[in-house]
Amino acid sequence: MDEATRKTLKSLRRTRTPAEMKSLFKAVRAQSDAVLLAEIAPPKKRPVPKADFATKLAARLAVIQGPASDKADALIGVIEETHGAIDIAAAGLVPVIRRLARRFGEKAVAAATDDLLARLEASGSMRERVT
Amino acid sequence: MAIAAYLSYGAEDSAAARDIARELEAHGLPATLTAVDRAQAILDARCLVALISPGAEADEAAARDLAFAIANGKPIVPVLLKDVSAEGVRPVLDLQNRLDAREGLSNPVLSAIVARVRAFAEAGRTIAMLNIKGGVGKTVLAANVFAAAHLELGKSVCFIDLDPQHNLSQFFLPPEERNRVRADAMTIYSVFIAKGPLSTPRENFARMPVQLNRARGMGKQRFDLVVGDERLFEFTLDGRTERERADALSRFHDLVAQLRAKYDLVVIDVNPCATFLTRCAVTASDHIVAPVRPEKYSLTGLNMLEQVTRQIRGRPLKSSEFSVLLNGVADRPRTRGGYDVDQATREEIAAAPFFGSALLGPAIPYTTHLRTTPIDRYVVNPISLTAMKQFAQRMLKESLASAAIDIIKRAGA
Repeated sequence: MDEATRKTLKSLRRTRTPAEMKSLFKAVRAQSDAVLLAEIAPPKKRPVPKADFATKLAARLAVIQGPASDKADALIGVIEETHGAIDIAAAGLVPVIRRLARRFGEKAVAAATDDLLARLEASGSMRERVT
Repeated sequence: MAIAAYLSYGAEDSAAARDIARELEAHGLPATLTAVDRAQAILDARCLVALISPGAEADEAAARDLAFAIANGKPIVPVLLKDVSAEGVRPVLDLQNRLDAREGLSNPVLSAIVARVRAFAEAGRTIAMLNIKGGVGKTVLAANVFAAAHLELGKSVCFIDLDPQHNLSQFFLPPEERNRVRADAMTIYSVFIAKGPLSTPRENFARMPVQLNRARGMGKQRFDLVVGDERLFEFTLDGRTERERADALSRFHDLVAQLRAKYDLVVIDVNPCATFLTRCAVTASDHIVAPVRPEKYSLTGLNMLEQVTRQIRGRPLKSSEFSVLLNGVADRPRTRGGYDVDQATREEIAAAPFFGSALLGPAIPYTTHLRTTPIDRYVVNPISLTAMKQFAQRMLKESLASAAIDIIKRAGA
């Protein structure tokens, strides 16, 4: 047995009783290498979901400081100007965008977002400059 | 009900004063006609009804009443009984705002007096955030404590940014929006200027506040700001005449009176040091909140505050007119030279004969969440910049709400 293997075995022994070690050796002898490697393989990374319409729009509104409910409230306010009163509570931004898109269409909601951002740009950011 | 009005008049107008007092009493508004301690009677009343006539103008006691009411932030209802020389009463009363009774105390005039007195009797309270020392957190605490009063207690609040540095306006509004308000002559500077294109007419004062809670479907409870202006420094230097300052003081009192009629709380954020602006704030306030940092320099600022306020008001003060709020207290003991710095400051104030009973139980913890950063981000609802609308921060929010409850109670709001 080479030094590296001995070292690995010693590290396994550190927190285990002789009975537990025997049980481990038995399991290793009974299985093929492929099965053993599969058992200890790290979990596969979950694929990153493709950004949908609502998350993309929410990301654009990240330039607004404040809670998501404020952003949702402002977006609803812009759409209300053209579509009348909307009975959607301003809660999470992404769910609100999804509900707005279902009711008024993605095109209208995207246009309202553009409008909101243009208004904010006109009103200026909170940045103070030294002249 | 507390005393609604104190009547100030010359000897020859005593019959008219009795008629007005009777009318006020008939409408459930108790009024004081005579008092041994006139100063205390004025302090106890919610407003002063001044009967103006040549006789009253010549009456020294009536003149003292007016000066005392102005120095102590008491709203005034001027009733013109006979023509007087405008110069004589101009520094203390705005004759444009008077109720005209030169043709006798007719029913419409009496009704107008009752309406004015009732408005003052039911008006909100005015609170000044003041400490002669700078950097104690006046502005940040004003924004955050009164945001708690608005969001947690449902109070309508209007700030007045009376500091030439206008940090409260910077806290809530982007530079472009402040510049637009300034271009429209709707900042506090336009209240202080009595004439010319930079002046705002008195009848527009109630329209000056900018909305800070812009959530849709908000009810009547407003959270607003009269925007500050760096040009106010003209009134802290020697650039303005006595006459211009007297006009500014009168117009500022009128602004506060109009706002009190609309809001539960009018909160004035004042510059540090003792200047003409300090006089304006102190003479318009019912209550003073003095933030104090746990350090020895703040204690000097507190002592100076008592001296300055006493001099402006021209009378001995009561500690119930103040609230002292410790700001920036650590969440664990901070020892220096064997002393816990926070505890030592608290004990020093608590043991003080005057300010001891003014020290509030709740203290504001030291936290970076009360700091602001000049970053390139936009704001759709300015009240969301306060800690009360930030995620988590439970301990901080509880401290702010507790402080708001105590201050409102002490201010009698």
